[in-house]
Amino acid sequence: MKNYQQKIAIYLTIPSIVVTIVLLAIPIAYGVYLSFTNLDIIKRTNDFIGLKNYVKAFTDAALYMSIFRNIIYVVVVVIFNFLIGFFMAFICYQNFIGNKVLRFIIILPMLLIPTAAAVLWRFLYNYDIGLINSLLTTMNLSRIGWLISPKFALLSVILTDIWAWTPWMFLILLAGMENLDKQVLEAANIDGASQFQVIKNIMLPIMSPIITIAISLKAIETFRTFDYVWVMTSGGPGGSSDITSTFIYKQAFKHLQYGYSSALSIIVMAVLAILTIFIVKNLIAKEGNL
Amino acid sequence: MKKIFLWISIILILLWTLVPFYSLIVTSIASSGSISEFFPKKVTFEYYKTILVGDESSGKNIWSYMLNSVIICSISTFIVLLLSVPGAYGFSKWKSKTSTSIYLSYFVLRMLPPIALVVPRLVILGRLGLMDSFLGLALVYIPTQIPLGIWLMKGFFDTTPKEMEECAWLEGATVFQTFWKIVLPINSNGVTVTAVFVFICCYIEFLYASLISRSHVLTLPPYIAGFATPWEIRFQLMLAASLISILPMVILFAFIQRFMVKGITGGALK
Repeated sequence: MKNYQQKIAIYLTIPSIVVTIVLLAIPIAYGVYLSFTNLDIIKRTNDFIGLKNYVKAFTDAALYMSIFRNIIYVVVVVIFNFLIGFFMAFICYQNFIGNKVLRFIIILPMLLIPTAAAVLWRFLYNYDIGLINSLLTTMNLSRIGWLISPKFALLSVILTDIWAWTPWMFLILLAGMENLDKQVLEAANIDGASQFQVIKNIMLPIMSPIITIAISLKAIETFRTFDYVWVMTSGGPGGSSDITSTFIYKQAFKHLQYGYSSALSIIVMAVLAILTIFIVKNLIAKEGNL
Repeated sequence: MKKIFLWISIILILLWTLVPFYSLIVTSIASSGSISEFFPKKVTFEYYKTILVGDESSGKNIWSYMLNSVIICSISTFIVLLLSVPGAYGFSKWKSKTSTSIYLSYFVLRMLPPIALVVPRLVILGRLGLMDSFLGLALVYIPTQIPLGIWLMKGFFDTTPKEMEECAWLEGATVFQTFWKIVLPINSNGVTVTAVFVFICCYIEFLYASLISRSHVLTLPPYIAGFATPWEIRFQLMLAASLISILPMVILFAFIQRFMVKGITGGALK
């Protein structure tokens, strides 16, 4: 019976595996092929040029800059997601009237689809009519070009991402806190430990598996981001908020260099695949239920 | 002292979350002269009328785009469930090194950046004549969401008590009968949750939606972003549409409250 059952189980997994492989392997293989060509819609070229695209990519300073910005983006977003999310979860873990209402309000940004959140903040940041600059002028401060000055553009987008995704982190951390053993925390309180000591010496160590998973998932997810940057700044001004995804997008659909953009894609995909395998093997698989 | 700290924190959290939302609502009803005012003096509902009923020139309203979104997400979700529910049951029963590594590679596949496959996918879909079609977008969403469907469902199947299945086999039921009549009904909750999460993932997707859906099947995210053109940004219309796009999300989230954490971590948590 066991053997028979195992065989049937293998058959059941086959359709999903086949469909996934067919629908992913074909574009990946085709992408690899394109990356060796100079397919260019404007110049109307489509020849095999070997590794030239890769040589160009590895000497393209803009690619390195976009990867660098992408790393900053991920690190800042994840750190603040965690800090704010933990703070919110810790507050909601306390007893007070209206706790349920506060939880509901905190989750609200999750209901906005990312495009809508990006659009909303694009309005808040608007130089002439945005809320933030209106507040600054009422306080007699000068307006700031949040999305139109190279200094602030990326940071402004990062803040939007933090605002929109903190509820996600909040939900996971709150679930982790509610699974904590209340007696341990009470004992610590009776022994006179301060709130800070309780968090540092009891909550964080016990919650470390859940925190590891939440941060790894969020980091991988943020590396893939596209919509916030694209809707708010399109990578501008002057490429100052370009991250890898918007950089590749522009090579493909603004400069119409399909071949070069495919080479960039393959590089980014390889880097992220290695990173993901590392994270999955060392962090998620150990702490989670994969 | 501690109480004061608690309430200050609560107020800070409320400001952080609600001020942008307040601005969203207020701006969508502010008439063009009052757009930058925190308390608009002149209020108008004409933007909602344009969004909900349709504007004079094209007569198109938000419902047709929402319908496009719902159709594409439903097709994708249905096919993803069709493949990943039995698949996840298989992975839950098939215990070997191979199955673990296939299962982990699903995780890696899902985490690949969507941008990386944009060019080859668009060229292929263009050659097949599937641009601006429901099927074209579904063909992109299905492989990206199958891993999610499999993890979530496997999490539910793994916690199903084995005794019931074993009883059924002893009674002479085939594996398919057991799956269809016993395992699946027990996990109907799990199927709902998985369906909702796959649906949401498709519903909020922007990159491919903006490239593949153009006029016929334009979905909500590119529709909302489309109010900003290089020449002008129609903020009120854009924000009114954003607010209305929340509706389906509210309904979907209401279904899955209890399973929220399980869903948003893709079942990676115990």
